Formats: sequence, structure tokens, C-alpha cells
Amino acid sequence: MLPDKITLEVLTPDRRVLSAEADEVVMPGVGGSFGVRPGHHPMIVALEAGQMIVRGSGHDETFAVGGGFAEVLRERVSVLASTCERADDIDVIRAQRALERATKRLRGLAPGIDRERAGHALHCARARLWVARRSSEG
Amino acid sequence: MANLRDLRRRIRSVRSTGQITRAMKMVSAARLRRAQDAILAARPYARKLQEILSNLAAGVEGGQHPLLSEREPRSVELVVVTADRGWCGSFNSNVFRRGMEFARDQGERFAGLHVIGRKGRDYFRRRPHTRLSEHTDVFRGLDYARASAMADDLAQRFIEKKADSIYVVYNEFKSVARQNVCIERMMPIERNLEEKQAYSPQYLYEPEPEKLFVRLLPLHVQFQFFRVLLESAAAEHAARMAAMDAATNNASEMIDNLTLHLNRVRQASITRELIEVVSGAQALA
Repeated sequence: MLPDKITLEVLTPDRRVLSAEADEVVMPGVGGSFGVRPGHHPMIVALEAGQMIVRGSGHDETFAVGGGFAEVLRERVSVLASTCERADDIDVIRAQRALERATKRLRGLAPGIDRERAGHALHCARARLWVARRSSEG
Repeated sequence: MANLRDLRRRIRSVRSTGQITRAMKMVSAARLRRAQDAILAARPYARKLQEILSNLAAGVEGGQHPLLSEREPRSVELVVVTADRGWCGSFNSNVFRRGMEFARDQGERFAGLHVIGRKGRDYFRRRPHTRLSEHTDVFRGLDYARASAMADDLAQRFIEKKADSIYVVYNEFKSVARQNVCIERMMPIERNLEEKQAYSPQYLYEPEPEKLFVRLLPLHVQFQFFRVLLESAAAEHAARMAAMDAATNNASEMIDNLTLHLNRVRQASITRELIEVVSGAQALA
């Protein structure tokens, strides 16, 4: 028998961001965005910085996640992310600034750890902006 | 023998010190609460990360990641986690002592210190040890981004083979009444992740387990470092609370003693004056 709901748990190192029931969760996997419905095969998957959509009864919620991992079980999804923000909580101005900063840094850097970090910052900022824009458009 | 004025002045000064220590104790108690909450809040993440890691480690045969590479320790570095402020009993000095012991035991291999906290920086500035990096003001509004950036820097040193192993010495938060100085090896990562779980479903992995594992290990290092900082912050507040509690008690005990002394001195001088008056009157009679 298929479970009809997923229990979703989103954890960051400093708090439990979300603990809720959902019909479907769409996550930014390393191989592209993918959706999970109840009864999914158990899976461990790496996540990129990007948007996560939680579809519940009647309403969807969008989050910006900062990369991490997800463990998918038949009726449970646990997301471990470095950051996770609800679309409405995103500080657009700050993300904009972070984007500019990261872009500038990326231009002047040789490949290496700092470049990787700047690249990650860039992705996070892009994801935040994208999520914020989409949710404001409704 | 002290005179009355000096005694009164002394009492006043001790009393105001006592007021300060009492206030600091209260502040520390509030901060401790917050620090403890932060530790608790980090727990679900810790548990899940550990779970996924051990699951992966069990599936990956001898996963070769640079962070796991055990090599001849020719260059050993130590991260010393101290506080930015004093007035917290032996909190800082315990760490100094353990750090110095560690450096001595490592002898030639010891390559230098990464100092966290203003107290540690000031202390080691006056010592011959090489300081590789210094960080202050980490604990006020401790956030994961800062901790993970610091952990990444350390991991980078290890991967580039500037350091063959990196240890951390810090105060572990045991309970409100107890802190415990401990030394842990951060890198290479200990391979004790292999404890098999009772329940482990047949997972699909995306990407393949080896790659996932490689992505997870840096996260593990970041998080462990974050945890160390959280522990140290809580231990600091607990230590300060205990120290300030003791100081407040000592102050009130001292006030009691001084007051007793003051009254004796006062009484003695009254008695002496009385005797003088009485014997003066007798002489005239």
C-alpha cells in the first residue's frame, strides 16, 4: 500500500527549519531538479543550491536551499542543507549584493578553494534571487 | 589596626564589586541558556548527518578521500579554542595548559597553532609558538557560515599537505557545573563511521556512493568544527556563571567579616572614650 503523504523534515546546522506533511517535494538535485512523491524508492541524493518546492494540500511553498543532501524514504524525506529560507524571508537586497560580490571575485581568481567558494556563493545568491522573484510574481 | 574610615571604604568597594559579579552571573545564565538551545538545535542535523555518513561509509569500500588519508605526521597543528573575555575561572588557562602540553609532547612535529578567541591570542602572543592563524569575536552571534569557512581553511591546509594532522583543544560542555578540556583529532577524519545500523534500506544513490561520500566529508568537518565552537561557547558561559557565583558569595562573606570587624573597632573606640571620660571625672573628684 502506498502512503499518501510524505513527512518532510528540513534541517540546517542551526535549527529545524520545517517539519510538515506534503504531497510532493521538488528538490534541486545535482543531476537536475527532481520530484518525490509518497512511496518513492529509498534514495540518498546530493543537492545543489537551488529552489525547493513543497506541494501540500491546496498550497505550494517555495524555499531557497543552499546545497546539501536529502534522504528519501517511502514516507519520509529529510533534507540537510547549509541554509534554507522560505521565499518570503529572503533578503533580496542582500542576495543582490552577494551576487555582485561573487561575480567580481570570480573574475579575478585562479582555480582553487577560493574560487570554489565564490562559485558556491554565486549559486546560492542566484538561487535566492530566483526563488524570491518567482514567489513575488505569484 | 585599620581605622574606621578605611574599613567603611573597603566595605563599600567590596559591595560594589559584589553587585557587578552578581549582575554578570545573571547575564551569563541568560547567555548560557541561549548557548544550550543552540546545541540542542544542532542535534537533529547532527544525528541525520551521522546516519547518512555511516550508511555511506558501510557501502563504500576504503573510500579514498584526501580528508581520510593517514600519513606520517611530520607536521601537526593544533586549534586552540579560547574565549574572547576573561572572568570565567580556569576556562581559558585550562585550555592554555593542555595546548602547551600537547605542543611539548609533539616535539619536533609540532608545526603551530590556530588560535580562536582574544584571550588565547593575547596569551600565545607572549609565547614562542608559531601562530598560523588568529580569529577573534567568533562567539558573539556564532553562525554556521563563519564556522564552516574556518573549517574549510583548515581542511585546505590538510589537503594541501601543509599539515599532516590537525587537532583541536577546547572546553567541552558537560553540564552547567562541569566543563571538560578535551583534545580531538579533526583531520584526518577518524574512520569510526562504520558502525552498521540495524535498519538500512537499499538506497539508490545520486550521484554514486563514492562521489556522495566525497561531498559529505567536508560537510562533516564543517559541522564538527561548528559543534566544537558551540560547546566552547556554552562551556564559557557556564564557567563564567560558576566563577561569578563564587565571587558573589565571597564578596558577601567578606562584607560580613569586615562589618563585624568594623563594629568591633567602633565599639572599642567608644569604650576607650568612655573610660577616658570616666577616669577624667574621677581624677577631678
